[in-house]
Amino acid sequence: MPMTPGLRKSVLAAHLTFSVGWTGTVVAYLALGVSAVTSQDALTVRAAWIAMELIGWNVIVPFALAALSTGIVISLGTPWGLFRHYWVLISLALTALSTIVLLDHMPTVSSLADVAREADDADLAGGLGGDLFHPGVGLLVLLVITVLNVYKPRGMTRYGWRKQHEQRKVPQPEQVSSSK
Amino acid sequence: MMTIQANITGNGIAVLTIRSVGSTTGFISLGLRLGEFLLRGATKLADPAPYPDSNSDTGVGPGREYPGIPRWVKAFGIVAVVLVLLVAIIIFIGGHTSPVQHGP
Repeated sequence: MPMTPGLRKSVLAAHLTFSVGWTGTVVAYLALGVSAVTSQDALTVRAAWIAMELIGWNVIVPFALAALSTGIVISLGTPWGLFRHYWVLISLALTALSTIVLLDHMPTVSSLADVAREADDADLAGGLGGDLFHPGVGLLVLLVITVLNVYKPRGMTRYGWRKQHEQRKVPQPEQVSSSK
Repeated sequence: MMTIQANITGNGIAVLTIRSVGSTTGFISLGLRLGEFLLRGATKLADPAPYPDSNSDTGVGPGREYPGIPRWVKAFGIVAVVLVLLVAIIIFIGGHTSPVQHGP
């Protein structure tokens, strides 16, 4: 269903905000992850893990869900569609996959944050380990999605091609009225 | 006095004619063949996007046969498969990537 221009701009603004916010927060999470890995200070390691849990559940997860849902809404409300163009389809798949991996990974982060809260300083100073793989790959995927959304490389799916020809065969209301 | 005249012929060739009247050289004519691809480009730029404010020009032109999967999608897929295999190998060799194993 086509959106009105005002609604389309509102949803687009929300989608951009959530998407860029998601990327920015992952960068902050990555910085905390690096601190958790490299620091020999127990207080820093403990604080990093607690902050990673808080940022993960309170910011990254809501932003991911919001970016995914607003992306779906704006795709369905514009001529791009959800399954018609490869760049939209790939962006949707990568966003959905990233969200699923995030939701699957966050309980592990919570477990590690609990360990960091309860562990002795000596244990933490020895290193609790870090979480660089997930945010690193996640950031790479988010950047790929951003590039796809900005450049919008051409190429229709077979479904999109078929739908386009079906729409051309159906006479538009203006054409019907003008032919009478 | 100098006059400049621009014409586009039926076969898509732009001709620019410069005439100098009253001078000793008499008549100067210069034709520039810009090529069909430039003319096509100009025509395409002139077409308004369906939603110009949202950059929603889907760039879909007319055609009857499905042109197939674009090259960039194939390249993207190959790179993605290679990366996934690489990650799988790293996980298989080096154990799990997270300091704590995922629950059952």
